Amino acid sequence: MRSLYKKRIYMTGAKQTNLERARGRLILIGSFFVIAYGIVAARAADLSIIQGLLHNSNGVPVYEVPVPSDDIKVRADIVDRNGVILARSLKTSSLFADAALVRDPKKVTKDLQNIFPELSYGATLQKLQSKKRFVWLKRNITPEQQSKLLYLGHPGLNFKEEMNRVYPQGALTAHLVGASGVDGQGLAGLERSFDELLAQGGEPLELTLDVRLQHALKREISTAMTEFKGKAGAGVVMDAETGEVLAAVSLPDYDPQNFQQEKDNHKFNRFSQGVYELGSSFKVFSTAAMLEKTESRMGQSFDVREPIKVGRYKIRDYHPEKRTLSLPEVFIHSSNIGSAMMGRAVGTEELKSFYKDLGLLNAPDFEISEVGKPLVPSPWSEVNTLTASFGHGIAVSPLQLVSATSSIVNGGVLVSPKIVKSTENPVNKDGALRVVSPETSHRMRQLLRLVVTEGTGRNANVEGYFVGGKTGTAEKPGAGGYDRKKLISSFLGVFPMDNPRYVVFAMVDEPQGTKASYGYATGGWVGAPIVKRVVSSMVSILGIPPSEENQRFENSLMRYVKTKEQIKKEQTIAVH
Amino acid sequence: MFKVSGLLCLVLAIGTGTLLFHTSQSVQNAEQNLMDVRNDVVTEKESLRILSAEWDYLNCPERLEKLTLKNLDMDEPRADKVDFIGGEGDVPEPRIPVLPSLKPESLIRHVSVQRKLAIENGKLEVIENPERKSFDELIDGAEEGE
Repeated sequence: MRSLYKKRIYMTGAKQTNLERARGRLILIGSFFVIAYGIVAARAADLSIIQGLLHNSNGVPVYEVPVPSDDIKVRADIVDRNGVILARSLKTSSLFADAALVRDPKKVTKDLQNIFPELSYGATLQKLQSKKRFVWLKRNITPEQQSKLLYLGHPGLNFKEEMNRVYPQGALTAHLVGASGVDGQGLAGLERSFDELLAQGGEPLELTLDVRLQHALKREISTAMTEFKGKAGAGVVMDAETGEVLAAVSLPDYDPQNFQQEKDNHKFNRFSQGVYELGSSFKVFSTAAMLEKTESRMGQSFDVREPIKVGRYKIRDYHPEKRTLSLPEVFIHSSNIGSAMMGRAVGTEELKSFYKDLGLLNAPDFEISEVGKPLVPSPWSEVNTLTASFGHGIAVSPLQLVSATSSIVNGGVLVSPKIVKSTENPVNKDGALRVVSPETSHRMRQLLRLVVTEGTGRNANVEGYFVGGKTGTAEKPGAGGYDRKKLISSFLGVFPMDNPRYVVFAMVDEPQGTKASYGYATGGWVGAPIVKRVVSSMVSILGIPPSEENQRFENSLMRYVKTKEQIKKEQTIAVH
Repeated sequence: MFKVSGLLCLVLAIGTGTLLFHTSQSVQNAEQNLMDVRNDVVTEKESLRILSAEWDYLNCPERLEKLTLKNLDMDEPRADKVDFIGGEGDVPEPRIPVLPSLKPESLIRHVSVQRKLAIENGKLEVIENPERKSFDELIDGAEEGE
């Protein structure tokens, strides 16, 4: 080093300066290239090694790939009033085959059959031999089945993620919620009527239904159907103030997961689509019409000793009292003759318009599409007025009956049935339509209570809860007139009667009398006990305390109802 | 002079380059982590959807009733068995009516007339909330006991 330095020292003048400048430039250029190559090398390492780990096969950085499923539109849930899931779409895998890639179709088919015993051998083999690039083999398989298939490792079998609709409550809410097909389209119930809305996803569709009440109602109707060997049954629980349907049952029912295979008889919705002549329950409306449209008094008497003859028809009573009855007595003994007289007093046009106001003559505006149109006599003659007063010759759905009753007992304000929970205050009575006066509503409450304390509905009484109601026993129309042995027995209950909040209806189609019911299969023996047990369950489910007034309540209409002793006394006087 | 400034520029260039590279890498890492967390959230959300559907399936009233009648020494609820006075510790909590009352005045009057009279006449002793425990406390207690 030293000798080199010494050598430099000898160079002097302009030569030396040029040389130094050239050396500096060389170093500068050299280092520029070194740095540039360094940068290129670093960038190459970055792109090939580091970035490679962060990019997917399409060259898109992984952090820029959109997060899945948040953007995919999942069909909205359906929930009950407490948020219990009634229908939800869940991601499941479906199995399909690229048949061109399947090497040994026979072996694959056998293996598939081990995992899915329900698959048909022939059809599956045919699909696998078809050489088609896409054939569905099995939709919506379980994760366990999927892992078994992956373990087998057959080429050509692939999975596609799909949304599968599940109904955690099974058949319990089948007729309301409905069912949807394998591609997610609604086939029945709310799934069909709200198909577009549900398909958009988002917030769940909230119903007014309470699954606990629904279960209680279903349990009791199904018990009664077994006990009385009934063919079918239906029931509705409604909030009388708002028209909200809290439970609605149609039996037999079906499994919504298996909709396509179910029988039509099971799919038929008996509470809103089925229309029935419901018999004496209609006396609620004819009596209300009498009180509302005429100057009637409670003490008014009706001579029901002789049947009424209209043309070739004869109107009789099932249990003739053979005496003159007061208005409350006609109601509690369920006298057809008395009710027909009321119908006649009200008049055809008035009765028709009253029924129309209550929504009994038109199909109700309900959120599901399975709604039956009532069968109304056409033309409506005088005899129809008389029979319609006790529920014959006019057929309506249980839902209509319950909402019309709600309108009468809630103080007289019209309610319409609803199943989808509204965001507005359901008891907002601005612009509400009045169908009967508060006085008539009050009288009807008293009359309904009398049926349970003194009349045909005694089996519906629940101590402390002030149940009121009306029995209904109707003969089913068959070929050549009404069939005396085929009945529709029902009970229309309301509680608590001092301030009605709930209307409970239950009916059984073609019940047979039992030993315990002394061979009777009427509304009082079949329907009333159902309502009693449903009310009992509702009390503990909803936490309804017993009514205080109940302890000291005296029905002021009692003075129009003769006791057995009084009747006996009068009869002996008459004989002597 | 040239030497010092050249060297300084070089050092600065390398320094900023490294810093830039480091920042870029840490941003990418952070984005990767964010992506992972987002994916986890989606997966968890999906399993929550399945689990809550399963929960409602397992809690459907029909099944609960069957299990209760089979495994517990309990009877079906009947209206005359329900006591709404409370305070004895036998009414399970929480006792919040699920259907909000539209007519509170008729639901507030819990005490029946007979019961009221019996209490006033001293025939019936009312115990006010005897060591009533909340569900949380009961669960905590059970865990401590184990």
